[in-house]
Amino acid sequence: MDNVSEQQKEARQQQAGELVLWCPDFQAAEKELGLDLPFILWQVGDQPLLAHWLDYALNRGASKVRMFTENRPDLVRAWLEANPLWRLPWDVIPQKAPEESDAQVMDYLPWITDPTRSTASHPFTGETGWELLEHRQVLDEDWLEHILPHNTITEANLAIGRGCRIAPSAKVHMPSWIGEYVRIGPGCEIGPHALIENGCFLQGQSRVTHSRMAAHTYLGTGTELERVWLKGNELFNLKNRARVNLVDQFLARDMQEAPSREVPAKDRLLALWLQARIRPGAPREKLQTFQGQGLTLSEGPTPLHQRARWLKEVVAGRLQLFGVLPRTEQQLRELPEDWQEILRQAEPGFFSYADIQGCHLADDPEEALHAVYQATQPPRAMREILRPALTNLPPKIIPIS
Amino acid sequence: MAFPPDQQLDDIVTFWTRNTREEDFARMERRARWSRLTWRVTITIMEGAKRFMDILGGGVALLLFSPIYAATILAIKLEDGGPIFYRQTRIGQGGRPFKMIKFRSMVTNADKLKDQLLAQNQHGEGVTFKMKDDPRVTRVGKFIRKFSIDELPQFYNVLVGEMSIVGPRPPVPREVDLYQAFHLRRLKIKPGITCLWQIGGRAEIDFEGQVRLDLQYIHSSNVWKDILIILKTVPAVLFGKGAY
Repeated sequence: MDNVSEQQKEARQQQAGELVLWCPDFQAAEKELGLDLPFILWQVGDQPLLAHWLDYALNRGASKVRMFTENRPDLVRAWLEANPLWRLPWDVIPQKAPEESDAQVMDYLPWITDPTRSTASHPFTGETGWELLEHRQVLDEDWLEHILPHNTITEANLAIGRGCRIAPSAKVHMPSWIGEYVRIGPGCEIGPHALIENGCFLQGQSRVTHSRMAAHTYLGTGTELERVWLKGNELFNLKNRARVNLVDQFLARDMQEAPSREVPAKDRLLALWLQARIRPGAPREKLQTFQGQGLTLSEGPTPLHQRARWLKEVVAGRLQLFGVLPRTEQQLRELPEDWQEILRQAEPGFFSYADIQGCHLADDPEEALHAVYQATQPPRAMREILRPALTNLPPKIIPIS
Repeated sequence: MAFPPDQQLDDIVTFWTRNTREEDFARMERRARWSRLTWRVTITIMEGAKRFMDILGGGVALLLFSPIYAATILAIKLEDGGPIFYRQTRIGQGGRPFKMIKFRSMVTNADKLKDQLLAQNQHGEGVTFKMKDDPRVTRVGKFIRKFSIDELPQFYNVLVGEMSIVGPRPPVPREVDLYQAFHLRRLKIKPGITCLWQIGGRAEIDFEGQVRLDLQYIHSSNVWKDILIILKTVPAVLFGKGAY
């Protein structure tokens, strides 16, 4: 790898300037297979596709990257904020209508006149989920051919991460990539074109070719994967375009524990304190509109009193203290589809961002807007806003019993 | 299990025709559950061992070197009365910046003087800056740098989890701005106080050599290797090899 001086870097930046990435909307295709991430964040090789593109931008010496994102730009932005490895200024520009975005992107790419030129030379259109998976398979295989840097041994396209245990009787064919802490049991045959992500466990006597195993996946004895993406106990068979949602546990299983949804102990204690202060029997009393501690409440019986009984659920650890306002299926269906999708994945709670904006009922259309905003923000940032508001509720809202 | 795990099986179909009874499935399920559990515990231990070693090693080192800390603090204060510690922004795991603590070994306006000295960089026009007989280094600084005493406060960074005892040295933001994608791989793990290039020649190794050794460490690190690197660091520090 060449050592790059500051002058060389500047020269490259002048040459490369701003780089533009266009992320088309494949959401319909992703939904078809129940996949929850936009294609640009799918794992290709050892990192998400977007990370490969940022690597390319860095090597080109780009001074800035602009990403025209039609598909869930909030997720792309959140990923970039959580991964500051590439010290490149970036800009995520949300795009809605494809026709409009085509025109805007073309303004940035004056040297490309035909936006369909790339698709004309390649059969990939991303119309169905299977096409996306097949395209990822092509990218994976292409990446596998180039795992090692150009100045090392090119014949050995095989990478094995640290902490792996591979049985002596197992065979690994190149090109293949095996992540960290992978265990491969006796008699297994891995590769060619196998990608086994971190923490996988292959019991033994299995064959894995032209396939990818998602991180922390267990694969039972005597199994064969060919052109398959195994993601926990969910199997996508690219050969037959078939999907199996629940594979038997002794054949395949997700070993990773579900992300913790436990209610923090300090939230439970706060709920206990609030339970002692809020009188559930006082919801009918009239309260004046007032402003205080960033809290705006409308006139009328405060819904916090009506919700008082939820606090025992928080104390028991069944409901979060801070989260979006719970709503019924009927209330959810009345919202736009993309809002529904966001809110379905959001954690409900006793006290929400909408509360400090003066909206306390799920029927209120403005409440839904605030709930969507809350659901797309980092939970920690939301807690920092909501916790002081809840702990400093004026005595009028919480009549001392 | 229906067959011993070391037995080679030629045909997967044969295996399944032999093991299609309900009690076989129940046995396989029990075995699968046990395997998943033991592997998950193994991974947790493998990943947790390094952090445990960092907490233990960092705590012991802070106590053990407390007389050296006291003497160094006194010497720095007596020499020019300036601040004792130097907090520098470094890039940690995953590209996240953090403040690395060192004993101050240079004059107080060292960063301003650096621009005037860039032409004398021993690493040429490369990413890193290093020069022999740097005029910005104080008399006390020269001594504490020779024996790497200036690095000792970093055990605090280790205790709070920003650094590890063994790992690639954390680069300054200016260096990372000049990185290519391949170099970023050294930021994959937590940075450390010592690593392979610290024991292999320290400042005499050029940037590309450092990256190569860092990647070699990242791809093959384990607790025993870490202990070996720590043990090899002791003579490298005592003889002040490659430090200036």
